[in-house]
Amino acid sequence: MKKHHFPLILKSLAFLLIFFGLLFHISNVLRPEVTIQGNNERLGMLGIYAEPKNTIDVLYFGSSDATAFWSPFTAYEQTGFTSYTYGKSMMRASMFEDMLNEALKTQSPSLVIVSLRTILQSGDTVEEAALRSVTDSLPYSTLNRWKMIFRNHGKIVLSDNAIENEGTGEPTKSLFAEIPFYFDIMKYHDNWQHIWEGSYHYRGLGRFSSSTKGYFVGTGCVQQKRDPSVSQISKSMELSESAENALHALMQRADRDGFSILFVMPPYCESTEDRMRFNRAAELISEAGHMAIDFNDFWNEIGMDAENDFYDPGHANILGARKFTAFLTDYLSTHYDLPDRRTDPRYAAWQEGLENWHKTESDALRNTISKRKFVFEDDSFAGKE
Amino acid sequence: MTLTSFSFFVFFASSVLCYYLLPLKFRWITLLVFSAVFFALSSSPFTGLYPIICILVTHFCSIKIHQNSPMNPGRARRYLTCGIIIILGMLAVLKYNGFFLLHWNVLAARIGLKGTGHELNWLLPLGISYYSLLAIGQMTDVYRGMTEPETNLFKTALFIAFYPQLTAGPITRYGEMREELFTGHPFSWTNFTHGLQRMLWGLFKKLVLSTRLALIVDGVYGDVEVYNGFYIWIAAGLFMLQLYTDFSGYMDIILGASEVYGIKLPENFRTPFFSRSVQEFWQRWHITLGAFMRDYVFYPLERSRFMTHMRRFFTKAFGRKTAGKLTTNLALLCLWLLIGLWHGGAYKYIFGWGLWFWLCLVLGQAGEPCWKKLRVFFKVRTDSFSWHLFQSLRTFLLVSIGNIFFRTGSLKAAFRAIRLGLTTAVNPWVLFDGSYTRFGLSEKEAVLIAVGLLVLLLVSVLQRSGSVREKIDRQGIVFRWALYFLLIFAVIVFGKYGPDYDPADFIYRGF
Repeated sequence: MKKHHFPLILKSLAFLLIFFGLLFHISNVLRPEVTIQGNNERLGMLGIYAEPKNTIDVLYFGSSDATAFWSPFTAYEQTGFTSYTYGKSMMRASMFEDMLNEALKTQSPSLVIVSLRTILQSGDTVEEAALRSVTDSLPYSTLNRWKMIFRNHGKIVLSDNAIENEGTGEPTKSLFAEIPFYFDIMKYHDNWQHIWEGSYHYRGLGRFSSSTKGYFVGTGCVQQKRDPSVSQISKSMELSESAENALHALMQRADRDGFSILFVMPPYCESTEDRMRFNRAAELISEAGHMAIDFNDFWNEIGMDAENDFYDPGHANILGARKFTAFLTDYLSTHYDLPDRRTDPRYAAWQEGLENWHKTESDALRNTISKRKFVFEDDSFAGKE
Repeated sequence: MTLTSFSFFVFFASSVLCYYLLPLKFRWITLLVFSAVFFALSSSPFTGLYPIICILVTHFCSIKIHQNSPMNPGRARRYLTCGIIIILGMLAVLKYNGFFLLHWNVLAARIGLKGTGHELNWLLPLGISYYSLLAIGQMTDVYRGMTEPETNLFKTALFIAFYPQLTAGPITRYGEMREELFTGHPFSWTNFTHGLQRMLWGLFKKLVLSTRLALIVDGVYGDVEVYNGFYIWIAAGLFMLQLYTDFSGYMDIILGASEVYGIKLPENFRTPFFSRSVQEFWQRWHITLGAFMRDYVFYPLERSRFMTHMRRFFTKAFGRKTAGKLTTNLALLCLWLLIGLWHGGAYKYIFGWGLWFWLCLVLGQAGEPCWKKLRVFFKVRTDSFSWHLFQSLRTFLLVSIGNIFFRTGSLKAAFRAIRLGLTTAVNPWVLFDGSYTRFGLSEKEAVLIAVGLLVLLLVSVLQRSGSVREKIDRQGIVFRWALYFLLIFAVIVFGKYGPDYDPADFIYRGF
């Protein structure tokens, strides 16, 4: 290489740097999660970057069955440990490992609680919508986003294919078809017509703190029908390869880093298949020396009410989440050594957050109670599991 | 593989890398290999046979023509005729068999025979209309002694199948391209960046403007009974712009990609909308096709024995001056009919892109004394901007009318559209009442089109006084980079591409 080449190389590098900087910024602005006003699930996920480093004691982790069930401020108010609900709806088994890695980049909780339901339901393919739901909510710059897409190479069922084949389409084999997952601007660039003021404050890393600490406040109320006999089933059923791999990866990470890991099934109207899958997962988890609890076994102790505590079949509303969080918090305080941060001046922000939470909670309760005993379909939750 | 697809850019980047990694004298081999791969990826394997036949015929005939031309010109001529017949025969069978069979069946029915012809639904090989002309041009140039024949078969193959120009031209001459293609070009930063800039500009024209203009044009021509009156004329004008942004955008990508290798291809467009007459328009639009037809069809035809006889005949009847005009116009008629036919085996092309322009030229010439009197009567200042503007708008309108034939499904449909445009409601307000939203175009997209076309106009104005890229090069780095990023992100954000789109292919790629 000759001396006069250096300025050209430097200029090219600078050009590429600016190009990718602009590309990532504009991509974030155009992502649908931002352009749809009022959606806060992605913001809840990004909120973890705004938490001071290593200040979260418990990470409650999973798909929408996690974000709808665990209310960190309820637990904090009750016993004083800090927690964060980290997850995204439609998160499939093959995404759990990278998502946990992402959360652990800034936090080192002593306990990670993994909500099992979606892992166990996951097959070995991934729907386009599911992968996009998660990767589109992760910052462009994080390596875990790129790794997650790469990990799912050859497993992605494109939406058109899935629709044509009623959800059973074959995964794409084309590498070019996967490129728009890495560079999602290729998919969302036409959203320039829908951007609004909030799109420009796309809540980049550390710019937004979640007022609910990642919890998705469900306010609807849809009556459910529960079959209590499902809890008696002792048979088990094979899990998909992806699900088993995910469980092993999470447990290995816990063993390597030395944090406790607890696997839970939240209380909901569990199906026979879900119970059988849980039984198999519990065997695997127990073999590895960890613990799994199905809280459907404690339905009455928790005080869950199928008529009032859910905003859709698989997700608790604020009433259900309060009950479940309170019950699990009691369990955690007796079985794990978790600190009380309520008087710690370093956690003053939590105290302030709690006051805001009370307002949010009372609004949500009022809203939910007004809808009790009514069966209705709320379109705003149509996209959630 | 379309030139706007992600796979093309990966392919292109790999080819550039290979090209510059190899020693100079082997670089043309990279181009040949990548051209073969491009053809294989862009069409079905069976169609690969045609370019191979075309290459072999061109190569063999060129050598034989050269060997025989000094001693045995008759034999050389026979080789040339034979070569041209094979190439044109292949083109006729593959591209025009439907057109010919239609007439054969009609004729057969008239004379009482059973119409036996069935259209051959064979796949049309990619770019056959273009490389057939290259092949004919090469053999003819050798016959005329304008160039030496190529002795290396693979070099002939590269000339015929050079992948950037394979699908839509420009229609090059062997003598001009010999040095460009076969002499390896050392890496040049200027060529590299200028080439990429030009490709980017082509992508802007195609992905941002052409695909959006197509929404309105397709909407109107899809249902002319509903969208009649002023809609038809708006759509005719917009189709002109769509065709220009599409074809010249394609050319920009092709010429830009070639420039990255250091290869300069001839220009196909020179700000055609500034043309003040139809004749001038054709000197600025699809320049290489016009030049090919002039050199290989019009001149030989005008100097042919048949035309000489005709000239003699007309001289006796009308005098020498008129005879000269008549024979020239007759040769022009053949030229335009062939140009029309080249675009496709259908009467809409033969009339709209052949006969119509011939009529415009002939009537323009014939009426010139009358136009001159009118100009004098109205005291028109022919050197004024307003007169030039009027002439350009008139040319635009005439060419747009020809384009109605190009765009509609048939000759009958084109006349119907024109009739509906002239005889139904006078509704110019459709321009202002948001009617474009009926075609799936949002208000923001309409603004985007307007801004895009203004940018296009600005660039065209700048092009008249020299290369825009050189003008940009003279600016400071902040301005230049701001401009580049603006264009890059205009394409990325406003372009119609990606998994949710099924982008229409380039219009001229189909020929």
